[in-house]
Amino acid sequence: MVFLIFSGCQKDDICSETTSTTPHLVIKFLNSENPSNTKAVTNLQVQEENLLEDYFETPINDTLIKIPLRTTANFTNYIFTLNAPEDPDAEIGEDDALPNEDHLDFSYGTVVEYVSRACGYQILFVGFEASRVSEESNTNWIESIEVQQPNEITNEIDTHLFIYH
Amino acid sequence: MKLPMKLTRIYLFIISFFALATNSLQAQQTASQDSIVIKEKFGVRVGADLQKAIRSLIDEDFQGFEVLGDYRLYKDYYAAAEIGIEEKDYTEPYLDGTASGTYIKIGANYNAYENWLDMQNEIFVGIRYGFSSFSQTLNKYAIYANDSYFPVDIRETNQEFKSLNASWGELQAGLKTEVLNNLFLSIHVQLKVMISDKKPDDYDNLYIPGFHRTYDSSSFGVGWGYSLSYLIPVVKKDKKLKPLDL
Repeated sequence: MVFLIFSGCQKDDICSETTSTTPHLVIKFLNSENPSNTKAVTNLQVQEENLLEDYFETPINDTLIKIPLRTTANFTNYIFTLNAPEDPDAEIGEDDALPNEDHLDFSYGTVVEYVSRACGYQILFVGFEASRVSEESNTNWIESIEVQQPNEITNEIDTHLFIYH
Repeated sequence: MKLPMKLTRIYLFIISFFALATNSLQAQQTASQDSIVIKEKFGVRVGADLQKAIRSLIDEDFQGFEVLGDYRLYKDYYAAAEIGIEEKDYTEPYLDGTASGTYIKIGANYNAYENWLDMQNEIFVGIRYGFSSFSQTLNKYAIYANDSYFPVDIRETNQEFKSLNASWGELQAGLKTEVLNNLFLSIHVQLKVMISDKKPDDYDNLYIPGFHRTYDSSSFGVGWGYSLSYLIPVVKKDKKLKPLDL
Protein backbone atom coordinates (compact mmCIF):
# COMPACT_ATOMS: atom_id res chain seq x y z
CA MET A 1 0.00 0.00 0.00
CA VAL A 2 2.86 2.33 0.91
CA PHE A 3 4.48 1.42 -2.39
CA LEU A 4 1.29 2.33 -4.23
CA ILE A 5 1.25 5.75 -2.62
CA PHE A 6 4.86 6.51 -3.38
CA SER A 7 4.77 5.20 -6.91
CA GLY A 8 1.66 7.32 -7.33
CA CYS A 9 3.64 10.31 -6.11
CA GLN A 10 6.16 10.20 -8.92
CA LYS A 11 3.55 9.76 -11.58
CA ASP A 12 1.68 12.72 -10.15
CA ASP A 13 4.55 15.13 -9.86
CA ILE A 14 6.05 14.93 -13.32
CA CYS A 15 4.07 15.58 -16.48
CA SER A 16 4.71 12.40 -18.41
CA GLU A 17 5.73 12.53 -22.08
CA THR A 18 2.95 10.09 -22.81
CA THR A 19 0.28 12.39 -21.40
CA SER A 20 -1.70 14.10 -24.10
CA THR A 21 -1.21 17.87 -23.72
CA THR A 22 -1.64 20.88 -26.05
CA PRO A 23 -1.36 19.25 -29.49
CA HIS A 24 0.88 20.43 -32.31
CA LEU A 25 -0.49 20.97 -35.78
CA VAL A 26 0.40 17.84 -37.76
CA ILE A 27 1.12 18.49 -41.43
CA LYS A 28 1.71 15.93 -44.14
CA PHE A 29 3.43 16.87 -47.43
CA LEU A 30 2.04 15.24 -50.56
CA ASN A 31 2.96 15.22 -54.21
CA SER A 32 0.68 17.61 -56.08
CA GLU A 33 1.09 15.60 -59.28
CA ASN A 34 0.37 12.31 -57.59
CA PRO A 35 -1.72 13.20 -54.50
CA SER A 36 -1.71 9.72 -53.00
CA ASN A 37 2.06 9.86 -52.54
CA THR A 38 3.93 11.73 -49.88
CA LYS A 39 6.69 14.03 -51.01
CA ALA A 40 9.43 15.39 -48.79
CA VAL A 41 10.21 19.09 -48.88
CA THR A 42 13.81 19.91 -49.68
CA ASN A 43 15.40 21.89 -46.85
CA LEU A 44 12.20 23.09 -45.21
CA GLN A 45 12.32 25.75 -42.55
CA VAL A 46 9.30 27.27 -40.81
CA GLN A 47 9.02 30.47 -38.85
CA GLU A 48 6.10 32.23 -37.22
CA GLU A 49 5.75 35.70 -38.78
CA ASN A 50 6.16 37.62 -35.54
CA LEU A 51 9.01 35.56 -34.12
CA LEU A 52 12.62 36.12 -35.08
CA GLU A 53 13.59 32.52 -34.58
CA ASP A 54 13.31 29.53 -36.91
CA TYR A 55 11.33 26.60 -35.60
CA PHE A 56 13.71 23.88 -36.75
CA GLU A 57 17.32 24.06 -35.68
CA THR A 58 18.38 23.22 -39.22
CA PRO A 59 16.24 22.77 -42.36
CA ILE A 60 14.60 19.35 -42.58
CA ASN A 61 13.66 16.99 -45.39
CA ASP A 62 10.57 15.25 -44.08
CA THR A 63 7.10 14.32 -45.25
CA LEU A 64 5.46 14.93 -41.84
CA ILE A 65 6.03 17.84 -39.48
CA LYS A 66 4.53 18.96 -36.17
CA ILE A 67 4.50 22.68 -35.39
CA PRO A 68 2.95 24.55 -32.45
CA LEU A 69 0.05 26.99 -32.64
CA ARG A 70 -0.26 30.13 -30.55
CA THR A 71 -2.53 29.58 -27.55
CA THR A 72 -2.72 33.28 -26.64
CA ALA A 73 -4.43 34.20 -29.92
CA ASN A 74 -6.88 32.59 -32.33
CA PHE A 75 -4.49 32.76 -35.24
CA THR A 76 -0.92 31.78 -36.09
CA ASN A 77 0.78 32.83 -39.32
CA TYR A 78 3.71 30.79 -40.51
CA ILE A 79 6.31 31.24 -43.23
CA PHE A 80 7.25 27.96 -44.92
CA THR A 81 10.58 28.21 -46.67
CA LEU A 82 11.61 25.75 -49.36
CA ASN A 83 15.36 25.42 -50.04
CA ALA A 84 16.17 27.18 -46.80
CA PRO A 85 19.89 27.74 -46.37
CA GLU A 86 21.67 25.84 -43.61
CA ASP A 87 23.08 29.11 -42.32
CA PRO A 88 20.58 31.98 -42.77
CA ASP A 89 23.42 34.53 -42.71
CA ALA A 90 25.52 32.90 -45.43
CA GLU A 91 25.40 34.30 -48.94
CA ILE A 92 23.59 32.22 -51.48
CA GLY A 93 25.94 30.79 -54.07
CA GLU A 94 25.18 30.66 -57.81
CA ASP A 95 24.60 26.91 -57.78
CA ASP A 96 22.32 26.96 -54.73
CA ALA A 97 18.55 26.55 -55.15
CA LEU A 98 16.79 29.80 -54.35
CA PRO A 99 14.83 29.89 -51.12
CA ASN A 100 11.09 30.26 -51.64
CA GLU A 101 8.94 31.63 -48.84
CA ASP A 102 5.22 30.82 -48.75
CA HIS A 103 2.87 32.20 -46.14
CA LEU A 104 0.17 30.07 -44.52
CA ASP A 105 -2.36 31.65 -42.18
CA PHE A 106 -4.10 29.48 -39.59
CA SER A 107 -7.16 30.45 -37.58
CA TYR A 108 -9.05 28.55 -34.90
CA GLY A 109 -10.93 28.72 -31.65
CA THR A 110 -9.29 27.62 -28.41
CA VAL A 111 -10.77 25.42 -25.69
CA VAL A 112 -9.05 25.21 -22.30
CA GLU A 113 -9.11 21.75 -20.74
CA TYR A 114 -7.79 20.48 -17.41
CA VAL A 115 -5.25 17.69 -17.74
CA SER A 116 -3.74 16.79 -14.36
CA ARG A 117 -1.90 18.06 -11.29
CA ALA A 118 1.49 17.81 -12.98
CA CYS A 119 0.52 18.96 -16.48
CA GLY A 120 -1.95 21.69 -15.59
CA TYR A 121 -4.11 22.71 -18.52
CA GLN A 122 -4.02 22.12 -22.26
CA ILE A 123 -5.53 23.94 -25.21
CA LEU A 124 -7.56 22.15 -27.86
CA PHE A 125 -8.14 23.86 -31.20
CA VAL A 126 -11.55 23.87 -32.84
CA GLY A 127 -12.85 25.22 -36.14
CA PHE A 128 -9.37 25.08 -37.61
CA GLU A 129 -8.96 26.86 -40.94
CA ALA A 130 -5.91 27.39 -43.12
CA SER A 131 -5.26 29.62 -46.11
CA ARG A 132 -2.31 30.10 -48.39
CA VAL A 133 -1.32 33.65 -49.21
CA SER A 134 -1.09 33.74 -53.04
CA GLU A 135 1.88 35.47 -54.55
CA GLU A 136 1.36 37.76 -57.55
CA SER A 137 3.59 36.12 -60.07
CA ASN A 138 2.41 32.65 -59.05
CA THR A 139 5.72 31.77 -57.48
CA ASN A 140 4.20 29.74 -54.62
CA TRP A 141 5.94 26.41 -54.14
CA ILE A 142 2.87 25.19 -52.29
CA GLU A 143 0.31 24.17 -54.88
CA SER A 144 -2.64 23.77 -52.52
CA ILE A 145 -3.59 22.92 -48.97
CA GLU A 146 -6.38 20.81 -47.52
CA VAL A 147 -7.65 20.89 -43.90
CA GLN A 148 -8.62 17.42 -42.73
CA GLN A 149 -12.09 16.87 -41.23
CA PRO A 150 -13.21 17.14 -38.52
CA ASN A 151 -11.33 20.40 -38.47
CA GLU A 152 -10.29 20.26 -34.84
CA ILE A 153 -6.89 19.62 -33.33
CA THR A 154 -7.23 17.51 -30.20
CA ASN A 155 -4.33 15.08 -30.54
CA GLU A 156 -1.16 14.46 -32.50
CA ILE A 157 -2.18 11.05 -33.79
CA ASP A 158 -4.33 12.50 -36.58
CA THR A 159 -2.92 14.54 -39.44
CA HIS A 160 -4.67 17.91 -39.53
CA LEU A 161 -3.40 19.49 -42.74
CA PHE A 162 -2.26 18.21 -46.14
CA ILE A 163 0.13 20.37 -48.14
CA TYR A 164 0.45 19.56 -51.86
CA HIS A 165 3.58 20.71 -53.63
CA MET B 1 26.71 -9.36 78.44
CA LYS B 2 23.65 -8.38 80.30
CA LEU B 3 21.39 -5.85 78.72
CA PRO B 4 19.60 -3.35 80.83
CA MET B 5 15.98 -4.24 81.26
CA LYS B 6 14.78 -1.07 79.63
CA LEU B 7 16.72 -1.68 76.42
CA THR B 8 15.49 -5.28 76.19
CA ARG B 9 11.93 -4.09 76.29
CA ILE B 10 12.61 -1.71 73.49
CA TYR B 11 14.14 -4.44 71.36
CA LEU B 12 11.20 -6.69 72.02
CA PHE B 13 8.84 -3.98 71.01
CA ILE B 14 10.60 -3.36 67.75
CA ILE B 15 10.81 -7.04 66.84
CA SER B 16 7.20 -7.68 67.66
CA PHE B 17 6.17 -4.63 65.68
CA PHE B 18 7.91 -5.92 62.60
CA ALA B 19 6.47 -9.36 63.16
CA LEU B 20 3.01 -7.93 63.46
CA ALA B 21 3.45 -5.74 60.47
CA THR B 22 4.69 -8.63 58.38
CA ASN B 23 1.81 -10.73 59.58
CA SER B 24 -0.81 -8.20 58.77
CA LEU B 25 0.72 -7.64 55.32
CA GLN B 26 0.53 -11.36 54.68
CA ALA B 27 -3.07 -11.33 55.82
CA GLN B 28 -3.86 -8.51 53.43
CA GLN B 29 -2.31 -10.32 50.52
CA THR B 30 -4.34 -13.41 51.32
CA ALA B 31 -7.47 -11.37 51.42
CA SER B 32 -6.76 -9.80 48.06
CA GLN B 33 -5.88 -13.06 46.36
CA ASP B 34 -9.29 -13.01 44.65
CA SER B 35 -9.18 -9.53 43.15
CA ILE B 36 -8.03 -5.94 43.50
CA VAL B 37 -10.62 -3.30 42.88
CA ILE B 38 -9.55 -0.01 41.30
CA LYS B 39 -11.51 2.95 40.06
CA GLU B 40 -11.63 3.46 36.29
CA LYS B 41 -12.58 6.81 34.84
CA PHE B 42 -15.13 7.08 32.06
CA GLY B 43 -15.76 10.44 30.50
CA VAL B 44 -15.47 12.85 27.66
CA ARG B 45 -11.98 13.61 26.46
CA VAL B 46 -11.63 16.84 24.46
CA GLY B 47 -8.61 18.36 22.86
CA ALA B 48 -6.97 20.06 19.94
CA ASP B 49 -4.49 19.06 17.29
CA LEU B 50 -1.13 20.68 18.06
CA GLN B 51 0.42 19.75 14.74
CA LYS B 52 -2.09 21.80 12.73
CA ALA B 53 -1.88 24.68 15.20
CA ILE B 54 1.93 24.82 15.03
CA ARG B 55 1.92 24.40 11.27
CA SER B 56 -0.45 27.36 10.96
CA LEU B 57 2.18 29.49 12.66
CA ILE B 58 5.22 28.37 10.70
CA ASP B 59 3.84 27.39 7.27
CA GLU B 60 2.53 30.41 5.37
CA ASP B 61 0.67 28.13 2.94
CA PHE B 62 -1.39 26.50 5.66
CA GLN B 63 -4.06 27.63 8.11
CA GLY B 64 -5.87 24.99 10.07
CA PHE B 65 -7.35 23.98 13.37
CA GLU B 66 -8.87 20.76 14.60
CA VAL B 67 -10.75 19.94 17.78
CA LEU B 68 -11.21 16.34 18.74
CA GLY B 69 -13.01 14.32 21.31
CA ASP B 70 -13.71 10.80 22.38
CA TYR B 71 -15.94 9.04 24.83
CA ARG B 72 -15.22 5.69 26.40
CA LEU B 73 -18.21 3.53 25.66
CA TYR B 74 -17.22 0.15 26.98
CA LYS B 75 -13.98 -1.41 28.18
CA ASP B 76 -11.51 -0.67 25.39
CA TYR B 77 -13.93 0.91 22.94
CA TYR B 78 -14.21 4.66 22.41
CA ALA B 79 -16.50 6.72 20.22
CA ALA B 80 -14.32 9.34 18.58
CA ALA B 81 -14.70 12.39 16.35
CA GLU B 82 -12.71 15.28 14.92
CA ILE B 83 -13.95 18.58 13.52
CA GLY B 84 -11.62 20.89 11.67
CA ILE B 85 -11.13 23.81 9.35
CA GLU B 86 -8.31 24.17 6.84
CA GLU B 87 -7.07 26.54 4.18
CA LYS B 88 -4.20 25.30 2.07
CA ASP B 89 -2.33 27.02 -0.77
CA TYR B 90 -0.67 24.62 -3.15
CA THR B 91 1.79 25.30 -5.94
CA GLU B 92 2.30 22.86 -8.76
CA PRO B 93 4.62 23.31 -11.75
CA TYR B 94 1.79 24.52 -14.01
CA LEU B 95 -0.86 25.80 -11.61
CA ASP B 96 -1.45 27.16 -8.17
CA GLY B 97 -4.59 27.10 -6.11
CA THR B 98 -6.18 27.22 -2.70
CA ALA B 99 -8.49 24.74 -0.99
CA SER B 100 -10.62 26.03 1.86
CA GLY B 101 -13.26 24.34 3.97
CA THR B 102 -14.36 22.34 6.96
CA TYR B 103 -14.52 18.67 7.76
CA ILE B 104 -15.85 16.20 10.27
CA LYS B 105 -14.67 12.70 11.05
CA ILE B 106 -16.76 10.27 13.06
CA GLY B 107 -15.82 6.80 14.19
CA ALA B 108 -14.38 4.69 16.95
CA ASN B 109 -11.09 3.70 18.53
CA TYR B 110 -10.05 0.41 20.04
CA ASN B 111 -7.36 0.36 22.69
CA ALA B 112 -5.15 -2.66 22.35
CA TYR B 113 -2.95 -1.82 25.32
CA GLU B 114 -3.38 -3.67 28.61
CA ASN B 115 -2.88 -1.03 31.28
CA TRP B 116 -1.15 -1.57 34.61
CA LEU B 117 -3.58 -0.81 37.43
CA ASP B 118 -5.46 2.43 36.89
CA MET B 119 -3.26 3.89 34.17
CA GLN B 120 -4.99 5.02 31.02
CA ASN B 121 -2.39 4.84 28.28
CA GLU B 122 -3.40 3.58 24.86
CA ILE B 123 -2.04 1.93 21.79
CA PHE B 124 -5.04 2.39 19.61
CA VAL B 125 -6.42 1.68 16.18
CA GLY B 126 -9.38 3.61 14.87
CA ILE B 127 -11.76 3.89 11.96
CA ARG B 128 -13.43 7.05 10.75
CA TYR B 129 -15.90 8.23 8.19
CA GLY B 130 -14.78 11.63 6.99
CA PHE B 131 -16.77 14.29 5.19
CA SER B 132 -15.53 17.64 3.94
CA SER B 133 -17.33 20.62 2.46
CA PHE B 134 -15.01 23.06 0.72
CA SER B 135 -14.15 25.30 -2.20
CA GLN B 136 -11.20 25.30 -4.59
CA THR B 137 -9.74 28.48 -6.01
CA LEU B 138 -7.63 28.28 -9.12
CA ASN B 139 -5.37 31.30 -8.74
CA LYS B 140 -3.11 30.92 -11.75
CA TYR B 141 -2.24 28.35 -14.37
CA ALA B 142 -0.05 27.83 -17.40
CA ILE B 143 -1.02 26.13 -20.62
CA TYR B 144 1.14 23.06 -20.91
CA ALA B 145 2.87 23.02 -24.28
CA ASN B 146 5.45 20.39 -24.99
CA ASP B 147 7.26 23.06 -26.98
CA SER B 148 9.19 26.21 -26.12
CA TYR B 149 8.77 28.04 -29.45
CA PHE B 150 6.11 30.41 -28.13
CA PRO B 151 6.37 32.16 -24.77
CA VAL B 152 4.63 30.34 -21.92
CA ASP B 153 0.92 31.13 -21.80
CA ILE B 154 0.21 32.02 -18.15
CA ARG B 155 -3.31 32.87 -17.06
CA GLU B 156 -4.39 34.56 -13.85
CA THR B 157 -7.92 33.54 -13.08
CA ASN B 158 -8.75 33.59 -9.35
CA GLN B 159 -11.66 31.39 -10.27
CA GLU B 160 -13.47 29.94 -7.28
CA PHE B 161 -15.29 26.62 -7.46
CA LYS B 162 -17.81 26.44 -4.63
CA SER B 163 -20.05 23.77 -3.07
CA LEU B 164 -17.62 20.92 -3.43
CA ASN B 165 -17.51 17.93 -1.11
CA ALA B 166 -15.76 14.66 -0.55
CA SER B 167 -16.04 11.70 1.78
CA TRP B 168 -13.59 9.05 2.77
CA GLY B 169 -12.85 6.13 5.05
CA GLU B 170 -9.89 6.45 7.36
CA LEU B 171 -7.75 4.07 9.39
CA GLN B 172 -5.84 5.48 12.33
CA ALA B 173 -3.17 3.99 14.55
CA GLY B 174 -1.41 5.71 17.38
CA LEU B 175 -0.41 6.15 20.99
CA LYS B 176 -1.97 8.07 23.85
CA THR B 177 -0.25 8.71 27.11
CA GLU B 178 -1.43 10.41 30.28
CA VAL B 179 1.24 13.00 30.94
CA LEU B 180 -0.49 14.67 33.87
CA ASN B 181 -3.62 13.69 35.72
CA ASN B 182 -6.34 13.55 33.03
CA LEU B 183 -4.13 15.29 30.47
CA PHE B 184 -3.18 13.25 27.41
CA LEU B 185 -0.69 13.59 24.59
CA SER B 186 -1.45 11.59 21.50
CA ILE B 187 0.24 10.90 18.20
CA HIS B 188 -1.25 8.96 15.35
CA VAL B 189 -1.02 8.27 11.63
CA GLN B 190 -3.86 8.19 9.13
CA LEU B 191 -4.48 6.22 5.95
CA LYS B 192 -7.48 7.31 3.91
CA VAL B 193 -9.40 5.92 0.99
CA MET B 194 -11.68 8.23 -0.98
CA ILE B 195 -15.33 7.22 -1.12
CA SER B 196 -16.82 10.15 -3.03
CA ASP B 197 -15.28 13.23 -4.59
CA LYS B 198 -17.41 15.96 -6.15
CA LYS B 199 -14.96 17.63 -8.52
CA PRO B 200 -15.28 21.08 -10.07
CA ASP B 201 -15.92 21.35 -13.82
CA ASP B 202 -12.62 21.36 -15.65
CA TYR B 203 -10.52 21.31 -12.50
CA ASP B 204 -9.70 18.85 -9.74
CA ASN B 205 -9.75 18.61 -5.96
CA LEU B 206 -5.99 18.65 -5.52
CA TYR B 207 -6.28 19.19 -1.78
CA ILE B 208 -9.25 18.38 0.41
CA PRO B 209 -9.55 19.73 3.98
CA GLY B 210 -9.20 16.77 6.35
CA PHE B 211 -8.23 14.38 3.57
CA HIS B 212 -5.16 16.40 2.52
CA ARG B 213 -3.35 15.96 -0.78
CA THR B 214 -5.04 13.82 -3.40
CA TYR B 215 -3.39 11.67 -6.05
CA ASP B 216 -4.36 11.40 -9.73
CA SER B 217 -3.33 7.78 -9.91
CA SER B 218 -4.84 6.46 -6.67
CA SER B 219 -7.63 7.20 -4.22
CA PHE B 220 -5.38 6.99 -1.16
CA GLY B 221 -4.46 9.79 1.19
CA VAL B 222 -2.26 10.06 4.25
CA GLY B 223 -1.94 12.20 7.33
CA TRP B 224 -0.89 12.37 10.91
CA GLY B 225 -1.85 14.14 14.10
CA TYR B 226 -0.29 15.21 17.35
CA SER B 227 -2.81 16.30 19.93
CA LEU B 228 -3.32 17.35 23.49
CA SER B 229 -6.57 16.41 25.22
CA TYR B 230 -8.16 16.58 28.62
CA LEU B 231 -10.39 13.95 30.19
CA ILE B 232 -13.43 15.22 31.99
CA PRO B 233 -14.34 12.27 34.19
CA VAL B 234 -18.07 11.68 34.24
CA VAL B 235 -18.36 8.30 35.88
CA LYS B 236 -15.97 6.12 37.80
CA LYS B 237 -16.49 2.42 37.54
CA ASP B 238 -14.94 -0.32 39.59
CA LYS B 239 -12.55 -2.51 37.74
CA LYS B 240 -11.56 -5.83 39.26
CA LEU B 241 -8.03 -6.84 38.47
CA LYS B 242 -7.31 -10.51 38.20
CA PRO B 243 -4.53 -11.72 40.48
CA LEU B 244 -1.21 -12.26 38.87
CA ASP B 245 0.00 -15.81 38.70
CA LEU B 246 3.15 -15.82 40.76
